[in-house]
Amino acid sequence: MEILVKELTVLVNIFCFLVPVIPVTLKIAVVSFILALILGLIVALMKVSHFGIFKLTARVYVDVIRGIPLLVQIFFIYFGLGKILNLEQLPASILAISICYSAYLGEIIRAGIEAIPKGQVDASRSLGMNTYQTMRYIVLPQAFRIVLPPISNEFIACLKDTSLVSIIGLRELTRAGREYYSQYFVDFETWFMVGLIYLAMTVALSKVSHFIETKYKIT
Amino acid sequence: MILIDNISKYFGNTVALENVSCEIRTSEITAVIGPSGGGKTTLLRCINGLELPDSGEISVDGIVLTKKTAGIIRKEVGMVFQQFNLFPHLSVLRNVTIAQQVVKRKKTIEAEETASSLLQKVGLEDKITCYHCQLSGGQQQRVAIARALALNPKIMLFDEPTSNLDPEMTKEVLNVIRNLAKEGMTMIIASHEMGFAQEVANKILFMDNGTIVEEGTPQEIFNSPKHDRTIRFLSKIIRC
Ligand SMILES: Nc1ncnc2c1ncn2[C@@H]1O[C@H](COP(=O)(O)OP(=O)(O)O)[C@@H](O)[C@H]1O
Ligand SMILES: [Mg+2]
Repeated sequence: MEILVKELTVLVNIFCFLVPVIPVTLKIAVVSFILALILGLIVALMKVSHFGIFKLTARVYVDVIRGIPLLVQIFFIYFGLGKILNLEQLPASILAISICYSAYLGEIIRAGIEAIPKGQVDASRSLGMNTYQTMRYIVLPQAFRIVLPPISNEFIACLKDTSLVSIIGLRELTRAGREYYSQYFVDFETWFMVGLIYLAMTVALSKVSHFIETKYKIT
Repeated sequence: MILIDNISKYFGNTVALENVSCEIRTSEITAVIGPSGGGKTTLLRCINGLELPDSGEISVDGIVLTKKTAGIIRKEVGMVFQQFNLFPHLSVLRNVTIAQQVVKRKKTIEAEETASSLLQKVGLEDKITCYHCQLSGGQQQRVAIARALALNPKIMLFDEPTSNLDPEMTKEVLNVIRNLAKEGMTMIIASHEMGFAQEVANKILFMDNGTIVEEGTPQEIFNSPKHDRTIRFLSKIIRC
């Protein structure tokens, strides 16, 4: 009984220590992901465009980014580019994650756009809508519904990948866990609690994305 | 008036249209008949600028169709497709209002009024407010007709509008087209409904292998076809 109470106290202490940094992790994930979505949409539109030079640029971009581990990209941007551009840890982290995820999201969005039947574009154009209007009102809204599930998976992956930036010293959830551990040397409890918090966030996110998916389903 | 001057269209090695010329006058109803693969769809898509011919020229009301003018011409020319191609992410009403709002920049209320009266005209007044509703093929095609009419086009193109429909639904859709004919709408209708073509059309084009093999009044084509291929096609249709 005494042991149980002691154990619980330790866990509660760790939890209270970690709670203030949860917003940092969420902020990195959300801001990076929004930027990645914007970049990814641009990449996807370049890939489906009729201009060879756009297609090629987008293809090279995606292949290069997807071929390099995110951790190396973080090092490159923080230690390499960061020195030149004078980037702090937070902007460097956000930049690295958003670039990395834009390549994956770009491919997902492109596949979504290509999944829309050609007849939809024909109908839209026959109604006098131009290329931009067709994308904006007909193709993208339908593609959005198709890519929603894979995109929410990517967001969950992105949230977990924010732990990588702990390595350049940004004080997010994983970094705070390491701090706690090096102060009190309770490894099992610390990493159990860190893991539990990530798990709680990802489970909550999949619930939210499931809700959005049902809301926007085409019947 | 539509002037089609010696147009050809190829898809790789496939000939879709070869040296096709014809003239469609205002208020005239032209039925395009012929075996599948004959070039009916391609001809209609070219008139709407969805395909640009490889050679030759199309002009609609004096405007020569090019990539640049296609947008202007499409506001004058409505098209109805074999596969309906309704926008599944939009309500019935929104399907009919979207082009009015986006292309013609009409106000929502105005666009919705137009849409309601068009949906009423095609017999779908009970579907105006329904969202995510299951529509039968015939209902979908009638929404598609209302959608194309919403821009107030001078010319309507129908690409086998009933070939995906069962007889009951075919009747619904043909009635809508019949009413348009009474109003004097200029129409080009690709169709396998020979009876209907004979009834509403002023002119029949028989197409095969990408060319207009024979052209004439319904009487000429159905009662005394001149060309071998026309005779063979019509006898096959009548036999089955
Ligand atoms: N997008 C396309 N790509 C390749 N071939 C095509 C395409 N569209 C039509 N064709 C070909 O062009 C010919 C005419 O087709 P189409 O105009 O659809 O005839 P129809 O509507 O009379 O059945 C056919 O041989 C068809 O296979
Ligand atoms: Mg066809």
